[in-house]
Amino acid sequence: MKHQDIQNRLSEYIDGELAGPVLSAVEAHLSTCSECVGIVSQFRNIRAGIKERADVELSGSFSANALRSIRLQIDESGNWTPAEFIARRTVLALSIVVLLLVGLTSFNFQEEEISVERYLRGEASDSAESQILFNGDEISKDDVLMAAVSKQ
Amino acid sequence: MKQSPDDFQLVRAFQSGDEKAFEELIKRYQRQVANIIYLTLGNRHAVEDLTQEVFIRAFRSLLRFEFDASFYSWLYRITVNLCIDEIRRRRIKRTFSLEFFSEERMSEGEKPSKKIPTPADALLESEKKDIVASALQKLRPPHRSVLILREYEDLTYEEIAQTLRISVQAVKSRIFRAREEMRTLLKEYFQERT
Repeated sequence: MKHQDIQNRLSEYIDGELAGPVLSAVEAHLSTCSECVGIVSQFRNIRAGIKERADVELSGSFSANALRSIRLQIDESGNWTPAEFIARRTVLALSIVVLLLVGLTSFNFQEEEISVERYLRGEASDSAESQILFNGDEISKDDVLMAAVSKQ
Repeated sequence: MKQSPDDFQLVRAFQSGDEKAFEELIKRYQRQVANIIYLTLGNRHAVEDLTQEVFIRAFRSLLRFEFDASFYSWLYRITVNLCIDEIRRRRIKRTFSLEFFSEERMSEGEKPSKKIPTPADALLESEKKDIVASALQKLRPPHRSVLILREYEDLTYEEIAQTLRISVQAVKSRIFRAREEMRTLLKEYFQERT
């Protein structure tokens, strides 16, 4: 690798992102090139300078204050906390299940009524008639009795 | 000895309705978030408020977090995005301010200006340790962010790529350019030291 190629890889070198033959080539070059050694040293100084500068320490009460502030903002904006969100999501899911059950039940009930009415009006075929009578557990006993009496 | 819960456990606890778990996450990351903000914006003014804003944004979105990245990558993404918003906001404010022509400009498309004080000038005005931070402020925000995540947070290229949603190749290239710009900006400072 040429000097310039090596120089372009020095940034990756100090980050430990090189491996294999490229790493060996860079290391070999560094043992002979003072310019590249200087660049590596400058990169390391930049790193040290940035780390040194990052000296912000927040107060011990920051997390509690932040949480209080979040709570306040949520109260003002009407957003939900996780607990509220989960509770509301559960209620919504249960409501959907209940609605589906009610819908299915009323659909079956309607079907049953229509069949009996058709039978009573004499519109149902013999097979439909036996179906209604044999499936008596799905219609009320009164319906079956009324159907039998009126047919006679 | 009781082991403290990891990020995954805390996030899951929060998602199950435990607000205390979020307070623990704040405690764990408040310093890092505050310092990323400080290094990116270059002054201590409003660091605490902006750190709080990061956690407010996190709180609002954490219920939908699905661990497609690590929690801290996700949190640092919020932090970097907030810093970029803040830089834009300050830039707009400056545009309408009389100070605009006398202050240092930090815009995304702007190369380090030749009119800005050299590191040697800065040395006269501030302490040595401020020089690197001052040069950092002259980098374009996308370069500044990658360099801070790399140098301060020690994130790998892969983690930075995940945090900023860019390719590893882009991370490599931005870090290299950022360092080269820093070397140019600090040329005189380095000469004085040798």
